[in-house]
Amino acid sequence: MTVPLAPEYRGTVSVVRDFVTRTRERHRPGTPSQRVIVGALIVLVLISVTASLWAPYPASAQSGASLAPPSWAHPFGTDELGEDIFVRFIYGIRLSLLVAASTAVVAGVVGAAIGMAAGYVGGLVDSVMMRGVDFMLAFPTLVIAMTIVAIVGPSTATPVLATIVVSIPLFARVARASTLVERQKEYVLAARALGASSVRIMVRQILPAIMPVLRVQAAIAGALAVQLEASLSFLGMGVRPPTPSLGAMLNTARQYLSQSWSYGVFPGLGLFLIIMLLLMLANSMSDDGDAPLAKTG
Amino acid sequence: MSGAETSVRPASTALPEPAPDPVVEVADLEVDFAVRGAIGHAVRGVSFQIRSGEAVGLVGESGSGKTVTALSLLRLLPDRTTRVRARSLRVAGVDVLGASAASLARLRGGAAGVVFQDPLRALTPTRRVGSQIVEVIERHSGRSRTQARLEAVELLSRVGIPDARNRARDYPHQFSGGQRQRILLATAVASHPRLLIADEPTTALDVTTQSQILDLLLDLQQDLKMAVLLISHDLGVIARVCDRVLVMYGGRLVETGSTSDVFRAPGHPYTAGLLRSIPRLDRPGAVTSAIPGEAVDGFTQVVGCAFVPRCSLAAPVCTECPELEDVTPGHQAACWRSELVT
Repeated sequence: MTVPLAPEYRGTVSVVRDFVTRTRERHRPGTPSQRVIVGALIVLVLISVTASLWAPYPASAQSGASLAPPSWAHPFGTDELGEDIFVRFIYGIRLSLLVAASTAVVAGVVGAAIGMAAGYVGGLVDSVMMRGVDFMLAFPTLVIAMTIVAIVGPSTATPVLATIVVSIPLFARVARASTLVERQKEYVLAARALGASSVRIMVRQILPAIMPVLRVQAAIAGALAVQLEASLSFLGMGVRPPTPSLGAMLNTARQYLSQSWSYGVFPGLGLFLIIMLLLMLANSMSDDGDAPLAKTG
Repeated sequence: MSGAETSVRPASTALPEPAPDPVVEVADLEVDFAVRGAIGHAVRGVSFQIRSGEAVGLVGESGSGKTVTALSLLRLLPDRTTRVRARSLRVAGVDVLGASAASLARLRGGAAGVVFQDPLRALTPTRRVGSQIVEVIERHSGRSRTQARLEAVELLSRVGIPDARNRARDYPHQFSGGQRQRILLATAVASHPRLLIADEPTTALDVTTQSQILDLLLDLQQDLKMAVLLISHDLGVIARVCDRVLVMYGGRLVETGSTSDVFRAPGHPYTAGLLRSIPRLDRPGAVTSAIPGEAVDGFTQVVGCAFVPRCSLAAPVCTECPELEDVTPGHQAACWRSELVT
């Protein structure tokens, strides 16, 4: 501040300057590459969520010739029923993102709660919970997911439920391991010495400390969930037609590979894009190291 | 702040009017712990009392059981791997060994606060310091959130954090070591406890800061009329702060008495050895010597006096375990040959 100011303004200036520096520090979390990846995911979410507002055709209605190649009217071509593949692709992406997000959040919350309880309480609680987790991890996820579909019956919610259930053990394992490390630390003892209850310590001391690990796990679990839902739908055990799903589109496209190259390529690229973005995000977050300390600086 | 050259605090003047019951009452405390199948004895029968408003020092080498003794006062040792037994273990009127989880939680941070050695590791790194203090106030005094926030800021400036209102919003790593220890003191005294347990509160700090923290500790003690149990291996720190001192060796109390009595005329060769191992500014010619040998740990089988292997006064009688006996009234030592100790 080189310009001399009347004394009554100095306070205001410093308040404003303080505000500017604080907002600059606080409102840009993450590294540049994380911001790019998250930005791309947000763009995908916005495009797919608003699809019903701008899509030129409905998702399941004939809008052109059957199995037409890409054109201006149909950028990705049409499928065997004459439906626009681009529109179905967008709706398929919406479903994949929904599966990824709900799995990351619901399985994350449930799995982290199980893992933290097992790691913090220990003893019999730990043994029982972790044997359950081991039991689930011993089976291929697709087998468990198919069993769940067989029991619950196919609907739009079923693949989401299946991916959530299958992902819970992944979070529980990671949360337990991190909790075991964290609960040894002196600040946990200090919190106990100040009268904090176990639940309180788990929520306020341990959860923030293991959050960086859980975030990485959430991104990985999201990617796995997208893949699992696509596999289920590919096998005809996912969402019911005509609801668009990238996996189901791949399955149908398989029969028309010789007639239409675009039918199979674009759903596959869509899956590739989402899974790659999520795994890149996981990768960059796991490079953060002690993220909570680094970020608050 | 190292060395016994600091003046010994007069014991008689510091005591306020005697409270009805002692804040801490320990009788025959024993703590065993299990490590991979082996059973160790960290504390092998310790009895002492702390009256309200009194500052008591607990001295001993690493592994002598002083931290374990302090932690078992609030039952902070892990239940699965340790066993705490005592004929009586009462803190602020609560029977610690028989207490429910809820009354233990009320005691911890309520009637008894704890300060740990390493102030960075003892503050939750992911939370603002203000909210850590607010939490304690809310839990133990039932104030509203707004009221607790005001009190937390007041408390922070009371312990000497400048610009407390803004600094309350900072995280622990944004403070210096001394400031963190001040904050930790603030959390420990937030609910005006009757007892403050300070486990090596100045060990992680540089000498100038140590001195400031001790001043603050004394200041808070007088202000809040707290009893203080100060654990340290630094006799200078003890001399400065404490009215009375307890010396531990091998899980037993080997000497107790007023700080001035114990420091002027130790009744146990271990205490005498500790005092000789400190460089003295007031006796330039005096030789500083270490105690030979190694300290016993919890796994050592001890028959008789645990200090025998390192003791220059050891005699056949020392194969029997000595009890604490009066050297002078109010000053006790567990040594058969305490009249020979110089």
